[in-house]
Amino acid sequence: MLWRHEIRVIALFLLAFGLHQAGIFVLGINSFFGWLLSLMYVVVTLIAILFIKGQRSRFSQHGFLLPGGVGRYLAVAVFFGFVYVFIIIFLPGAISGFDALPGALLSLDTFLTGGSIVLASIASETVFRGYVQTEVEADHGFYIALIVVSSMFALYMLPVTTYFAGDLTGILRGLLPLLAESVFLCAFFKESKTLLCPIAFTATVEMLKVFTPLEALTGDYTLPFMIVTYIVLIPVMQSFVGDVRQQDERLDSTPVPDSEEDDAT
Amino acid sequence: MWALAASAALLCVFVVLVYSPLSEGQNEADASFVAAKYNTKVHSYSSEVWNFTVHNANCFGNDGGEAQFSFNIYLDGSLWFDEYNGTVHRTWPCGVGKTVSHAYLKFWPETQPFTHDLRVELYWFYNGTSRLEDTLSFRTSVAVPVSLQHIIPTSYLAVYLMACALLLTYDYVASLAE
Repeated sequence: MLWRHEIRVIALFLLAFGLHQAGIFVLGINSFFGWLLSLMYVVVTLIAILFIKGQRSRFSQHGFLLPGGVGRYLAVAVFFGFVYVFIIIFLPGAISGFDALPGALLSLDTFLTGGSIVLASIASETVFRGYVQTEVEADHGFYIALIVVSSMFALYMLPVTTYFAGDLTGILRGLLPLLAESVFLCAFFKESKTLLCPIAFTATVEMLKVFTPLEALTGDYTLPFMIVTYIVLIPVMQSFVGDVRQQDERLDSTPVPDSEEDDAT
Repeated sequence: MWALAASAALLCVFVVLVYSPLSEGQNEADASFVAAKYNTKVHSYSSEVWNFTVHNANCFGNDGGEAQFSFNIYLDGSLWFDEYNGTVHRTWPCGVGKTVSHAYLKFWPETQPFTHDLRVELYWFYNGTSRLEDTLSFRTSVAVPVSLQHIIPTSYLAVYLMACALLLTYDYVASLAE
């Protein structure tokens, strides 16, 4: 059927968008519903998995794979998470100063927040990198996929209250860093071929943002600074991940000695 | 199909919970908060103006005229501002169907970062008794401006640098091992 893939992509986006915005809206009314937001992320992930299953394609094609040297992939993703937050907090803060905020306490709330961040990362990456990017890239190429996924991701992440506020400048200020983040994540997924990397990166960034009680006093240049940081980090990340992947592929193509083959059989 | 069913079910749960009696601010009060302006982040040694807007749907005065209201404001569970007992004007009027706004000034004298839980209670005075009509809760974090030399940024900077160094070391050692 013509446009079948596109219709599925749009349907999944609308479902994820609706559920995510409903979750944020309900949480805004009453923080008691924090657990409901976590449940919603689980449902969004399950819906994305059902869509992937419906495609009759292999899960590994959608990034559900554990590559050899998984520890190195994770280390690189977490490292870039630290580097990104370091750049946006400490570099401008060193010049213009910081706002020190109350630190997170060791409480049940803190653990629930951490869990919710991980679930949110899994949900958004499964939908946008795992399903949408893979499907659109297969049909239309990487650059079209980059535009489509980034637009959808930015719309999904921006809280619905920002749209209702009707302030176009506010909406653009919210969307632009999300577009830049999505471009970085798409490049990360394309380079690493596994969802582990974008999930680990976003979870690290969000946790560090929540649990680092410091904000740089950046004022108006926060937005371009965040965008430039993501753009600058892309080639550095590609170099790191490319190195890990090349070593991974070298190991895969290394012929197994006869004696080991005999042992295996 | 399953995806659609799951989404529809979850949306129904959202709607039921939002409009259930458990959710705050959905009570059948005769007077209630309709808007509030406050900052979720303030700076130490700064002042902040809170602006609360109340709508009187069905509260009358003793003589059938304008109803009299006042606020109690609790800071971290303790009564911080008692409008009735702590001010000269004690109460303020609001007619049925009318909406009024009142502004209050708060100075934050903290020298350390701190998160405060605030609760504002709206009382209606009728026949010598006060009746709680609505409550509003919010959280405000007091931020302290510091430079890089201060202990908080320095300690976090050290943690970040150590974490980056450890991750790079792990990556290097793992690449040698493979």
